[in-house]
Parts: sequence; C-alpha cells; structure tokens
Amino acid sequence: MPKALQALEQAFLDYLLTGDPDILAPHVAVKGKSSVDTKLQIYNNAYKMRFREAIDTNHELLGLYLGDELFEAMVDGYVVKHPSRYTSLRDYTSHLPDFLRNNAPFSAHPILAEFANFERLLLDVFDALDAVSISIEDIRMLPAENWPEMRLRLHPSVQLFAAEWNSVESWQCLRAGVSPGAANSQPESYWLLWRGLDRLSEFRSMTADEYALIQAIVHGDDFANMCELLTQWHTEEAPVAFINYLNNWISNGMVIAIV
Amino acid sequence: MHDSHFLGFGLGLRTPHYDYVIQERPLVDWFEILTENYFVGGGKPKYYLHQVREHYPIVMHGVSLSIGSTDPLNTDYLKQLRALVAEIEPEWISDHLCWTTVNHINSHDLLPLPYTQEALAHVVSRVQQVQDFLGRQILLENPSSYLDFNHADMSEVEFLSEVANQADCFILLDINNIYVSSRNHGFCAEQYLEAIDPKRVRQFHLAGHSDYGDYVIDTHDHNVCDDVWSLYRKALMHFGAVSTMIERDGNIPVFEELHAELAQARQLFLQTLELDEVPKPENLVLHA
Repeated sequence: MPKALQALEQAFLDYLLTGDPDILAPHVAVKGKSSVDTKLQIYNNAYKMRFREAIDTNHELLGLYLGDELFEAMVDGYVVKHPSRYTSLRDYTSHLPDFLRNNAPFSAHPILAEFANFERLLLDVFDALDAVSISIEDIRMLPAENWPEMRLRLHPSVQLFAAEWNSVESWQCLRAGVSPGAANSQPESYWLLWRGLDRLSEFRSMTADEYALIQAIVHGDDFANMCELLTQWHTEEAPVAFINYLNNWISNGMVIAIV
Repeated sequence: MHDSHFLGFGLGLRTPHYDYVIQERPLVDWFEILTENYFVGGGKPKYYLHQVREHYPIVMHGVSLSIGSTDPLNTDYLKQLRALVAEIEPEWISDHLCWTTVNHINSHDLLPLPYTQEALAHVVSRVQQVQDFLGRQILLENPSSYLDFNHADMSEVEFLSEVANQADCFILLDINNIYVSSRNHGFCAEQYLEAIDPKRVRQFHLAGHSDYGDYVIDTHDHNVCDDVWSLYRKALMHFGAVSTMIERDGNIPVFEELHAELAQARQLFLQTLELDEVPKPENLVLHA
C-alpha cells in the first residue's frame, strides 16, 4: 500500500468533506499567480457544484417546487449527510426521498419526500433494462385452456406509485408551467409508470383494482387468481375487466412474456 | 506521416445532438462517447448509441477508472467497462491520470496526484492490471489541475511519460488541459509538448475554458480560444497527424456550430502539416 499517497488522498477528501483548508494546505505547492487558498477553494466549489447539478438534473421539478432558498438548504444538508458511494451521479440522489422524509424543515411537509420519490421512479423508468414486449397477436396464439394458470412478466421499466398527497398533480402543474397550489393530503391515488414503445417515459393514474392486479403480477399470481382478485370490484364481469387491462398493458409495451 | 490508428476529426457525442446525428449523418470522422453514460440497461441512450455506431467509429472516454486511487480497483466498474467495450467495439478507450475515490467515497472529480516515485509505481501497476483485465491497452489523459503538491519528485509531464512507458499504455493529450495547467502552475506549455514521445500519443482533445486572470478553469463550455489553437498547431508540428476531437459539456451549441469549430481544427491541421487533404483513416471496421 502506498502509504504517503493514501494519506494525501484521505486528506484531500477530508478537506472536500469539511471545507477546512488547514487539512490540505500544508501539502500544496506555492506556484502560479493564485494563492493556496484560491487553489483549494476551486476544488471545494467544484465538489459542491457537481452534486448540486446532479440533484438539479435528477430532480428538476423538485427544485422548482421548493424554490431557491429551500433547494439550496436541501443541497447543503444532503451533500454533507450523503457523501457519494456511487460510480454514477445518477444514483447519487437515491437517498433524497428519505432525506426529505427525515430531516427538518423538509420533514414537516410529507409531500416533498413523495414528490422526490415520484421523480426517482421516473429516472428508474428511463434507465431500466431493455426487453422485447409481446404483441396482442402473441397472446391470441395461446391455447385458451392454459389461460387460468398463466402468468405475466412485466417490462423492467414498469413501476407502481401510491400517493397520499397531491404530489403527482403538483409535478404535472410544474411540468406545464402552472402554479401547483397548496399541498393537500388526499385519498390514496395510484400511478403506473413505464417506458413506452417509443422509449419515452410515460405515466398515468390507475384505479385501486388495477393497482392490486399489477401488485399480483409482481407477486407471481396466475390469471385465475387475478380474476378472483378482481371480483372485489367487478363481481360477474371480472374476466372481461381482466382482458381489458391485459389488452391495455400489452398494447402499451408493458408485458414481455406470458408463461 | 501517420500511423494506422489515425481516425481524423471527431466530436463528443452529446444528448442534445442525438437526433441530428442520426437523421443528418454529418461529415464527422468519429465520435467520442462518455463511457459511464452508457452503463445503463437500455432505453434511449443505448438505442441512440447503437444507431450512431452503425455509421461512425466510436472511441470511449471514461471519468471513473480512478487509476490513481489507493482503493482497490473497482471490479464492478471494470466488468461494466469490459461489457460495453464488447458491445460497442470502440477504436480505443481512455480515462484520466487522476484519482476520484478514496475509502470508497467518490468525489466525482478528477483530482491531482502527487508526482512521486511511490505514486508512479502504484499507477503503473494499476494500469497494467486494467490492461490485463480488459485485454487491451488504454489511453490516459493529462488532467487539468489547480494545485500541485510540494513533495513531488518529478513534473506532471515526466510522470505521464513514465506511466506510459512503464505500463505500456498510450496518451490522450488534452491540449486545453496543458494550457490550463500551465497557466495555473506557471510551467511552459511548449516544453510540456516537447517532452512527450510522439509514439505514445494516440488522440488530442481540444476544448474551451474559463479564464479568471490569475487562474483558468477547464469548463468545456466555451469555444476553443486562440492560445489553445496556437498550442494545437505546435502539437501538430511535434506529433504529426493525431486524431483530434473537440469536447463540449456545457453551454452546448447547435451541432452545426461545433461542426464548424471542428472544420477550423481540420483547416489548421492541413495548413500546419502542409497537406492538401486529411489522410484517410485505416483499419476501420464499421458495423453494416
């Protein structure tokens, strides 16, 4: 182990984390026109700016929702509390919803964590693995007698989101350039996110029965169980409702296999 | 005049230009991609990359190898890198002579090394390990820096040359970085160029920076300035025909504007080397 190098790198990182110039200044050569303090400050500014940009890029509308002052406070707090252990800055903000949920003054506004979580899922949808979706024709070729025991596999980009606040509606307002209005708690709403056939990230609201169905798919339930589940909402028309949902998921590229 | 690895004149492939490049197929000899941007399972970045790869040679440029770190080499990173290399079949791959991570905390910055014998032995050993793992030689880029250390045994250019010789890797010479660091540390940029063995240099970077008078920051958000063009000309005189590209990461203009700046590099190349036309790249394998 190159001990002197290791000690110097640790001192450099400690300086970046604390901003205390005395940690690194004794190692820095006096050269060029700028002072040692200026040289150090360039790195410290870049350190914070890089993470600020990552948060801003990954959570573009959260920044608008918070406003400049609260956004800067969030950046300051998050950068200190969460040194990056990731290769990609894309992943750096993965703890942001938890940070907002657990740290004042943000924790007094539960919609913030929910808003950040929704934006995190949009990133996950964008970055998800590719997979070939099946078509309606593929399902028509399956023998009808096998249907009750069949199971669906969803596209890796499919995500579910349940909201107790008007977080998604506020996100949509900001996206449209409209003021989002006040934060309100509301009956739980359900959202389906996925990457469409044209590779664009999409989302839409869904009802409680569809939300329960997709949870059942993720759980590995077969078609018979899913139809049974739907009887809570659709009584005699459960199979028809199931077929309608299935058609919708397949035509939107959300299903990659029926097994 | 030039070796078989000369690719001509390239640009960095950036997200705002994906559609333009695919639809218009501009006359660019090759594109450089930012490696880590394609460490994703799928979606638009990969889709566009494969579209571009069908029509252009690609080189891969990384920022996360952290070759100078005292942490163990990141094998997950290297596996992802190797998989992307197999998928894209780049002409070559590069990263920076720097460190980014220590004690598993990532600064996400290209931080300077102390140019000591101890650091040299460490970096040489790691470059050899990386090249063994990947089964190919890599290029290392001279970093831009804003400080250096007071217990150095050698200059940056001596350190870079020794790494290349001892580890048998190549050099990506960033002309703008030489200029930026020469201003920040007060060394002679021309002497830096002349100290490098031309056989080791496989690519040039050109870029813009922000000039604050007493110091200069490598921001990649401006056009290439006159002083860097002048240094590029001197580099051509010393190294001959080297594949050249322009990096732009901030304040990204429309593609045509970058393309025009690249034409400026091509023109300077022809004038400096007294050629009528750019030598044809050799040994290129494009996907059908």
